[in-house]
Amino acid sequence: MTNIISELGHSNLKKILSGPGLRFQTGPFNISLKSTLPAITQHIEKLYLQSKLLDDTNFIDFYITVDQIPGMRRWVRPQVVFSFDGYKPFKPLPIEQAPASLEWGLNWCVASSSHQYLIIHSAVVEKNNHCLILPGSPGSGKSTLCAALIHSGWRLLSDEMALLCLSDGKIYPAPRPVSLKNRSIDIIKDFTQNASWGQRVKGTTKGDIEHMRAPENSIFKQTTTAYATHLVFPHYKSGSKNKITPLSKGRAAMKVIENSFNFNILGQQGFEVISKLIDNLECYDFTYPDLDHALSGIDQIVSK
Amino acid sequence: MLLFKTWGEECVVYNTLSGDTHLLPILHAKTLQLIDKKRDSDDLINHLMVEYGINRESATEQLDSLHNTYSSLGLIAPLATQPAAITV
Repeated sequence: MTNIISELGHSNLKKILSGPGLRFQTGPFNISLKSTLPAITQHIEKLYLQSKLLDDTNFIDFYITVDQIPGMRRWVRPQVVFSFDGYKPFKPLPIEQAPASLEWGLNWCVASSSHQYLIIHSAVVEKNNHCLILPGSPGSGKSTLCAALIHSGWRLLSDEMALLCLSDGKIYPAPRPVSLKNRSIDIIKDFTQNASWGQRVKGTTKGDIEHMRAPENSIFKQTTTAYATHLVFPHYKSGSKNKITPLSKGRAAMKVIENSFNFNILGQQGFEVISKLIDNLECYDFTYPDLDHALSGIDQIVSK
Repeated sequence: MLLFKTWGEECVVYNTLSGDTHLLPILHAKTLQLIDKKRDSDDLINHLMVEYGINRESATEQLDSLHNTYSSLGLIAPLATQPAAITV
């Protein structure tokens, strides 16, 4: 019995994706993925190679297909469409954007249906029992900072969503490829030679995107949950100095609510779990000028 | 129903009816809690006089101001205008 995707080999992987569907685990979610597209086979082979395979007895959370639109569109400006349980929540995209379509679609599946968690739009990393939630609006540098941290000894729990379990208050890891955009791609490629990368996807609404494989250690520990210890709102500002500003818990709670995908769905339960979360967190705003300063600033925050 | 969570001098209030969340100074939140518990105006004015160290007139003005603020935020129902008595 093969246990992880890399053990399948290219031909077998391609055959399974085109046929019955590839069943694999990512964090707490079981996925079945079908696709006839070579770009998707390549993406999975390169970036999910450590993911655990599942058999037919495992319950599947998301049945996903990423495939080309049939008919005339096969030849005239071909497009790809993402579907979840047969439902197509997004417009088709140019076929070159297939890998990005898969990753965005998976994010959507989790954010729209996993209401056993309060889901915060943030990166989450952990080291030595310090678990940092890093919420970030576009341009804050959250994903770039996350990518640097996970290549500096921190474990990746997620680059996109903190899954805060309603029943036990722990963060559940869902480590997947880290999505980097535009300048951030080259910044991280300069920062570390140890990362593995997928294909560059050009011309998306967010610009150029490239996915970086989650470090092996993060995948092996993907069932190890953590209690959050710090909430840090990163702000990249070129030419600035490191500035660590304590954030009041009231303001921190409001900002977490603003950054939650499903607070409005969870209602009272969401409010109660955020209240308990904030009780146990040290909360900061953190401005930094570059990655080296960012890493030292994060070390300073967790050593306080 | 209003849910309150206090940290130091700040209070976060969640309105289960609207789904909105508000950040209030602790004194405002305490007044809101009294309103929520249906205390009468005298109780509220006395509370404000003690908490702010102000006289009755100022406390009454403060209470009116808070009523307007809470009402505009949807945290309390606006005061109904009493119809004028009709004498036949």
